Amino acid sequence: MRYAAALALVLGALPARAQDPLAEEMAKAIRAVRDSAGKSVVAIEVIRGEDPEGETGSGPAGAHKDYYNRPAGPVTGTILSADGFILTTAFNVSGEVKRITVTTPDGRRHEAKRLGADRKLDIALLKIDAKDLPLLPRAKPGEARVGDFVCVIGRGPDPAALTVNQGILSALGRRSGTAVQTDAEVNYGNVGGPLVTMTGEWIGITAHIYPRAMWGQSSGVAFASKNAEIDKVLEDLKKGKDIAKPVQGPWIGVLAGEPRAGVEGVPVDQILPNSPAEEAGLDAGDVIAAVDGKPVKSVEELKAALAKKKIGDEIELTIRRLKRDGKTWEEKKVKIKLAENPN
Amino acid sequence: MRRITLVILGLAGLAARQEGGAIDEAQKRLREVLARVTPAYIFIDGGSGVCISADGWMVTNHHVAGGQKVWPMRFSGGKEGVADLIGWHPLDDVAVLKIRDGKDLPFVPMGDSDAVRVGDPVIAIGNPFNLGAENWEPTISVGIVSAMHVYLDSPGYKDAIQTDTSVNPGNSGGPLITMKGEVVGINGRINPRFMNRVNTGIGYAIPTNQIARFLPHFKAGGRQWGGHLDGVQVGECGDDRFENVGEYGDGTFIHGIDEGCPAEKAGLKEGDILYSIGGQRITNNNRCFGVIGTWPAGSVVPVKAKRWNPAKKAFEGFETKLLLGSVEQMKEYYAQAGNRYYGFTPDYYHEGAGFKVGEVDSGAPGAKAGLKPGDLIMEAGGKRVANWVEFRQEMGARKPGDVVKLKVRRGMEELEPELTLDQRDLSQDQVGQADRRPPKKKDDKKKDDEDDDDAPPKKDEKPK
Amino acid sequence: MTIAAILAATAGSAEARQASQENHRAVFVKAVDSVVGIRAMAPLGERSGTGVVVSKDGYIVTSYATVPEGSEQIRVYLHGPRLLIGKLVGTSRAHELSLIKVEPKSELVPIEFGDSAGVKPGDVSYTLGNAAHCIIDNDAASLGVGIISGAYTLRVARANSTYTGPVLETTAAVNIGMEGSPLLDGKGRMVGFVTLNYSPSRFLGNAIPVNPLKPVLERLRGPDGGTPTTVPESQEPGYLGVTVGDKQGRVSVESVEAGSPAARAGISKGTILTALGGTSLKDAAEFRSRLKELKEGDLIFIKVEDDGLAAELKITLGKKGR
Repeated sequence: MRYAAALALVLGALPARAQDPLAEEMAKAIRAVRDSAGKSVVAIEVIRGEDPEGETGSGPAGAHKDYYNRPAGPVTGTILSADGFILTTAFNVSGEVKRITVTTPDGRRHEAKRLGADRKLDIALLKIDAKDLPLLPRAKPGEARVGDFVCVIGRGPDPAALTVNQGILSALGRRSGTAVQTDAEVNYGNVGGPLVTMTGEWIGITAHIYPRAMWGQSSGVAFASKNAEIDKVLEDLKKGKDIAKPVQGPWIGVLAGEPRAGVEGVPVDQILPNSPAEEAGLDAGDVIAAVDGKPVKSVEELKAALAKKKIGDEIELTIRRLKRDGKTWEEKKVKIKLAENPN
Repeated sequence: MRRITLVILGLAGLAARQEGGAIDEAQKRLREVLARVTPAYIFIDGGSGVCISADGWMVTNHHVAGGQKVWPMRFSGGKEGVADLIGWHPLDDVAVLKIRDGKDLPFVPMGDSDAVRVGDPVIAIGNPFNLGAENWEPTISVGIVSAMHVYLDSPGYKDAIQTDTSVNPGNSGGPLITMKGEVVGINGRINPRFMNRVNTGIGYAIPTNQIARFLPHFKAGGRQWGGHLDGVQVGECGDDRFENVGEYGDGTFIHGIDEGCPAEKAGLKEGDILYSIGGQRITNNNRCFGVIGTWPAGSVVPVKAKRWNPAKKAFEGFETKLLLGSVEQMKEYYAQAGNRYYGFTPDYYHEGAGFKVGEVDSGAPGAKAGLKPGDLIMEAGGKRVANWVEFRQEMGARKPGDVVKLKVRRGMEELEPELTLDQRDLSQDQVGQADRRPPKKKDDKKKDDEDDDDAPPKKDEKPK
Repeated sequence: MTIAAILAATAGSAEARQASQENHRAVFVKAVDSVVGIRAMAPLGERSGTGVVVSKDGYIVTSYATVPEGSEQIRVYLHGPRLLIGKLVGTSRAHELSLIKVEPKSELVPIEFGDSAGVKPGDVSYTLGNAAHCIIDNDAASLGVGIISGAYTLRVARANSTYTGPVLETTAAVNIGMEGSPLLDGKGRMVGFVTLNYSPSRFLGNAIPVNPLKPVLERLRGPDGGTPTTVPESQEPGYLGVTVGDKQGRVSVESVEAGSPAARAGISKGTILTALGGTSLKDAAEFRSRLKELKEGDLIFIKVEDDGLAAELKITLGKKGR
């Protein structure tokens, strides 16, 4: 008897259900959320100047700031007030911006002014000349639980169409408690759009896509800055204040991977563009074994060793790199100048 | 913000769904399962683990915790603890640890992973990108089982559960949990897309049924070895270079067989097609290696095979029992548990209660206690032992130097010898060894030592 | 990666729960016999992807990216597993599809087609295919569940794709090996044909709506007993976007057009080109003449050196002005 036949016998020939009431109900709910929340979601086109560091679109990718390198097409913003305050991510409107055009859901295009930004929350406030814009209802503070179903509403490659991504709340207290985490897909296109409950209530603004997923790609790990946190800085943003991140500790610009059996130290999973690590010639796959001769065995130890240094300090890293034979490790020492963590 | 409240009125028509409808019910159920399972999640060195018993047995990946003997760990929420690495299996990427002073700990029971079907919803708990280190809050993601019984090339995910649940670096070692609240897999590998090492919908988990088969051995301690077809070369059915080897999908055919290997003892011959091993249907070579790898070395499993009868021009089916693993290697390995050496191996083929002694090393603790091949050990330290695996686990719980009273049956006689455990030679199971080779045979040990590039065993870390 | 998953397991009433719990499973069981793994020797090397059985007598549609024109040794892995050798009967590069014929011993189970015009964002959707070669290696087709998360037009062909035009976006998993697999609706009917093309502002799975593909398939198969035909299409010269010259006996890039396939692959002024398609380059004239023979959509391998670092780039040639 063939395997397939055996399988069919065991399972019985299950016909696909005529309909799945739950999927139907969910699909309806998702569309309802999209249609209601979508009324407060705008498309933002950003015209940037030349990348000061070189010709856009050629040369090694690392030589460019991520926002010059991002794909063409609109990004997303969320209407914050009926008279035209629009919220988006700071990243979306970073760089040498020449013009920002906001398309409201009614199809009208508005020239927008960038007021202020908060790098810590990765949000920026824009103002357009409009009135009677529809607003999102807010989720009650403290009601969200891990596992709650949520949607992210965005404007896709086509500014007239809405995108909706669905997931759950993965965690509630990320980025020093200022953000929630979701496994709904958030990418270059929909970042800046609202994270809403299944009844369309606004939890926060999707933000912070760049540090982990280098190319704006969703990995099922995304963040939204909480609306209560946004409220705290809103008045400052309206006044045009640019809130920088609190000075970050010294940084080398690597993402640590999981420990590898057989070699001691901190394995490097990714080298971030424009980082000291990139400049010093570190490679993904290298293992950082020591800082200034003192062995580091875990990410925590590496962090602690770096925290003792100052931005601008030159340190010596001991790197273990797998030789071509794939078995033995060679040890190298590299000098690296610490920079400030830009994220 | 008065203005906001005013505009909300415009949204009254939104609720296309009913209060208390299917979505609310689904939400309630998910919250309930999460409340039950999340406390058993464990943070360990940037990776993940899960507690599977109230007394603190914990499972994770070897590539997370195989590197050292003692680990600081934290439960979801931040409660600190210390765990000792007890057993590890680099080829299966599994490590089993015991949390010190474990009592009434939160745990998720291991479920039957063979009952999991494609399409079943599953939950992953993990620490992607070490995000949880800030406040010891793990990351929850949900998805479905995409495929079952997936064999990946070495290092061996032999019978993996594939899931589209978001799993990323840092999720390794964390649990894959069903909506019943049972762990059915340990997440450990992903497949990337878009040139980036983040997840796009393919994650692989080691199934709990495989882990459960090894669990007594893990608890006995030390490095573990999976089963393999010793002394047999196999070919893919339907290979047109051979005659009478069936069609692709029929199973796997024996292409070569060494003299004296377990398969020959089981009555298998060149040209035989194996189509069921350990109760699992074998469809091709990958599945064959996959199924066998889920069994510890030393397991004797039922095998179904068929043989070409040239006279009748037809295949004839038969059944037999096959020992997985090489006897030579196991002789060295199964005379001990963890670092306790007792110096005799089981008769793997023995059926029925007790531990039947196979071979006794001369001058070893077993020989000193007067044990002889064929002796049946019924009790050890006043406890009944159902089989050799239980005996091994029982020995693993003791220390070198301990004296264990045995109850032994030899023919009609009943004996009560005393067995003094010795310190075991640790050279075989150094911690942190990324070695993919099978245990060394005694006679080629010398040659191997010359090119031995393994790191020396690490010293115990002081717990933080 | 979706709630649709959990939803199914947590329905309200016991009956509804029973019904829904089975839905992912029912879709899988209904479609799994119609989804096959495909491995073929394409002119530029071996490729693997997914195929879909469209007739009882053995017509199978797959991705042009897996089985381009000129492919040989087409191996079709059916659920079971069974292995059959297929023959390429027709291709349409513009629609990114190839039609294969196998001679099965017994009737195959064709997929049921759905109506892609009726698909709405928010609808549950499934992908089922050979992700990471799981059909070929394990006889285990991989099921992904998600929703339709958008519908838009892709204007650039990426990731070996030869298709540009309207797509359905899904949050169900789409990975290497899934090209050519069906996008299924909640009733297990094929409403889309998965492409690896994607939008870099979304990084999600995309499928070509199936309605416009139906007449193409009919044409490829030909009238009953007729001769299958390849859909004629424009054979635009391939566009890379560089000018080259000879510099110290090597082929050096003199300029790169912004936004061109070369620019996107990271080639810049001064990059040295050492080989094209596995053969090393003598001089700039040879490079130019060999490039001229290539068409839009062709995948080329170029070996480059930049600041002493060597790399091999995989570039899909574009169309000038796009």
